[in-house]
Amino acid sequence: MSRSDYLGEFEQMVLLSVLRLGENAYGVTVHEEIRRTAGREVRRGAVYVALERLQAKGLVSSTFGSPSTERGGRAKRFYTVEASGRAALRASRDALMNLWNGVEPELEKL
Amino acid sequence: MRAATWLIGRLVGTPAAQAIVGDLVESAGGHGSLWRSSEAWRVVFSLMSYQLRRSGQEDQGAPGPLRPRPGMPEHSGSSALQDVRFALRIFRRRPVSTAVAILSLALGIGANTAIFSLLDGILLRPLPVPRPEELVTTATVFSFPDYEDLRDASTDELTGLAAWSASSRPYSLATDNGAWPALTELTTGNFFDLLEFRPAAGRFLTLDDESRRLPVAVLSHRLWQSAFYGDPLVIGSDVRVNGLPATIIGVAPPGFRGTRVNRSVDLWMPLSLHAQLAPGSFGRLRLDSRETQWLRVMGRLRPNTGLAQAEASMLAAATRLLEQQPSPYLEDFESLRTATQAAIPREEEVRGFLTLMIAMVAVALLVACTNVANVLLTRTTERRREIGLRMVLGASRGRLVRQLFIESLLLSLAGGVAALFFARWTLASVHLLQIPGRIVLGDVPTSINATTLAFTMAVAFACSLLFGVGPALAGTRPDPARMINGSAPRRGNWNAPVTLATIQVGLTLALVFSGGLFLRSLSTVLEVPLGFDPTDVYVASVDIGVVGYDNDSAATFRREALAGLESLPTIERAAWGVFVPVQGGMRMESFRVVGHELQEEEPGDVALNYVSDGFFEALRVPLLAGRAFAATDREGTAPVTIVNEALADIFFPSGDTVGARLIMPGPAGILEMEIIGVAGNTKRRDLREESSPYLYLPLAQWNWLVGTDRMKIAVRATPGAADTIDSMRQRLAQIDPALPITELRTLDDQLFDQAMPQRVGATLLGMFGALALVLAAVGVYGVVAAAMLSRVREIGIRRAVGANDPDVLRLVLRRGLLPVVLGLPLGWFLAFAVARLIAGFLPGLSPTDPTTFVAATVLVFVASAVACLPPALRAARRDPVTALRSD
Repeated sequence: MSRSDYLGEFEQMVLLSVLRLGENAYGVTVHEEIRRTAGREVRRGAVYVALERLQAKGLVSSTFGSPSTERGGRAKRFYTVEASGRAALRASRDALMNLWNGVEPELEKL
Repeated sequence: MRAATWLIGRLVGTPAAQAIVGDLVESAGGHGSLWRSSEAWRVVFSLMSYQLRRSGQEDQGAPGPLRPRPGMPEHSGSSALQDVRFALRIFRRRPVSTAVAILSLALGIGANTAIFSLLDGILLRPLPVPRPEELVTTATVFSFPDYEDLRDASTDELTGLAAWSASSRPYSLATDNGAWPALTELTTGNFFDLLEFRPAAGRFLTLDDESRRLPVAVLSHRLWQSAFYGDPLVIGSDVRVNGLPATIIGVAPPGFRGTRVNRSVDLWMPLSLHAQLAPGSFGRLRLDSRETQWLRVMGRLRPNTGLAQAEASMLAAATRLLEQQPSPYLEDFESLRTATQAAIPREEEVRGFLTLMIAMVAVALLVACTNVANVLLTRTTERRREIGLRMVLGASRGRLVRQLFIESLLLSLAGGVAALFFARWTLASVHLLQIPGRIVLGDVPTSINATTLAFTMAVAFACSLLFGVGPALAGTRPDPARMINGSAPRRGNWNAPVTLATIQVGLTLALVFSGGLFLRSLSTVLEVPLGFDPTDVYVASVDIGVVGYDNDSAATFRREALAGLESLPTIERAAWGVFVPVQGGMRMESFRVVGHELQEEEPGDVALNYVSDGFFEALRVPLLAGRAFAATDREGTAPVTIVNEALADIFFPSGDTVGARLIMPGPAGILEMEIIGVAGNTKRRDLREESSPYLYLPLAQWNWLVGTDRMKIAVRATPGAADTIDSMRQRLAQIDPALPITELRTLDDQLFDQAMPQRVGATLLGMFGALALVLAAVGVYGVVAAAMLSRVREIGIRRAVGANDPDVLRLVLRRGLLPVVLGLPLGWFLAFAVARLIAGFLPGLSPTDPTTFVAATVLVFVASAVACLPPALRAARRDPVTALRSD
């Protein structure tokens, strides 16, 4: 697996959040979703950086919505997970599952 | 905030930036103004470091910075962004020189911004009112009838004339929730009309309030915030001011602190309440008397009335008034000044001091700029090859210039941002300092002055343009082949790096020298013999007149206070005095030596102090002859006095002082007193002052005169005693809980303030001097290193034909020390110029102090010489074969 294919933990969280949010995945909701589900403080800038990086890798794509007044007349940028993104998520999950296989009893011992 | 938006746009493209900003607005609940700017800046920072990492990764891949690479996001097609990224990559490649440039700029810009912000707060905006230049005042103080006459006589020149009396000590402002000390100005009803600003809440005092003697008060914005948490409901609420029930009617606008910058007034009330409010003998001043002059006045010039014209007509008005109504005090009607000038105590000295500081930070900025210039010049020389290559590959000159321009811009931006932090830090760290005029810097409302920041950044930018783009541009003209080949440019007569380093060394020497002078002066001041021992002495100011004592009960209180304090195990001795050394204040009285004809050069007046017995012991003022006051020197016993050494030297050169007799005005005509002792000279107010004649009188014999005046109580604590301040407070409160005790502190603290100008000068200039020294050393290093680079081949050849190590070293050092040798005389010249400027702040020190002079020169020389060594040694050790092959 080359360096650029590898999904970091945070990238996985962002990708999964975008998936979960479906058609309503944009900056605010993604940030909120990660904070809610992961239960920890996440820097807003980190979310944008991750989204930028994922997009550069072609794992997500984005479209601009129409401007709304509650946002001071600014458009939302909606994100969608691309097929390659889903594949990357699957690969990461499988790799982790393989690693998890058979360690539960070891964990209990500690 | 638009800057952050713009930056995000530069980093990710405009529509994406708009989406991010939209997110921020939405998260803040739709209030565009509410989303915190720090949040936006954090996003900017994250995106920036991402882009940095990105460009770093690309770097590992392949050369060709301008070739579009696959995998770049579509929005990065903007070429300005490419330039930014490329610039950032260049910076990363040369981290040391980049850091030096940014740090130099940060310190230079930051120091300037901080000092200018202070200057702005102190000198330029002492009165935050509309058209402050129209407000005028005079140094003369008036009686109320004189004020009224002048007011009515000057209506042609002034739209109005207001009078006020400022309390010399805080009044007590009491509410149900507690009491606050508040310096108070009692003003005529038209005071606020003249200022022409609007209240932050409620209303201001009016003529009606004054004539009806309504007990109403206007709060300062500061006190409103600190004591009432900015509650608008405070308007109309009842308070007690020095015990008098009063109503809050308004709040002054933020930033208005009264008419002087060195004190913060918190309360304004009608002057007609003066008799009910003012404590002590001050409260007995009568509004209808012409005998005492105690009111300051301020007027607003009518439009198109010049200061000189108004002064002439008001002088005429004063003269007219004198003819109708003789008043002894209108005679010395002093010239008009603008209220802004009058707001600054000892204005000339303050102005001089701040000017000096500004000159110094300007020099520091110059040194910083020369440093940046040197870094950029060196870099441009190094980059000739790259620039040539890019030209060959088809980059236009415009493109290259834009690239360099952006590099310079980024450099000064980074310097500016870092400078902001440095300026904040500087302002925060000087807030305890005091400059001449007893202006405590922490009291000055300072905000980072945006204009200055912008200006200094622009200077830095211009400097980096001049030295970053200029030479590079010049370099793009000759044929690229020559540049790729790496040959040094043809040598002109003018060598920019050497010139710059020379200037740097010169400026640095001047800075180091001035810092050294202040440091020397500080140590001189601290060594001045005081004539007493301030260690372990605590002094409090006790204002007995406020709480209704008469002369007899005051004397009783004072006796009980001394007994009470001396019963404390940690207190060795306690004493009263109207004055305490170095705390200032003075009274003069005329006197004569009995049997001695006053000579022309001898003084007929003498400064005096009324002290209890124990005063000389508590302060350890040495008695050179005779005895100290004793408990037996009281009312009814023979009048006695103690003179200081200076008085004894003038009138009793033969030494027969003790036993001689003096006369001065007493309770019933002339009083004759016997001199029972001679005390050593002490510093009354200022460490710089010369000793002058001084007379001590026993308090117990002068109670009829000074009975309820404010007095100082001085105690000598046992060395190392803890909590003396608290136990003093408690013990005095046991005797009278209502008594206001102020200014309770150690005499050492007081002395600390005394040496403040030297301390500030030594601190700031020491900082700037050290900074300049480092920068200059880096500059010299840069010169030598650059000279080495361009002469690698020459050195190789020399070595090949037999030059040995010392020869090479000498060659290199000769080059490196050239700016030092040229710079030192320049520095001497500058140092002497600066020394003249600062002479006024350096008591007891010749501004051309040879020790400082030699020390500064040696310091700068050694630092520069050390900076030459590393590159010189490197060159000397270099293998000639490698050196020759290097191109």
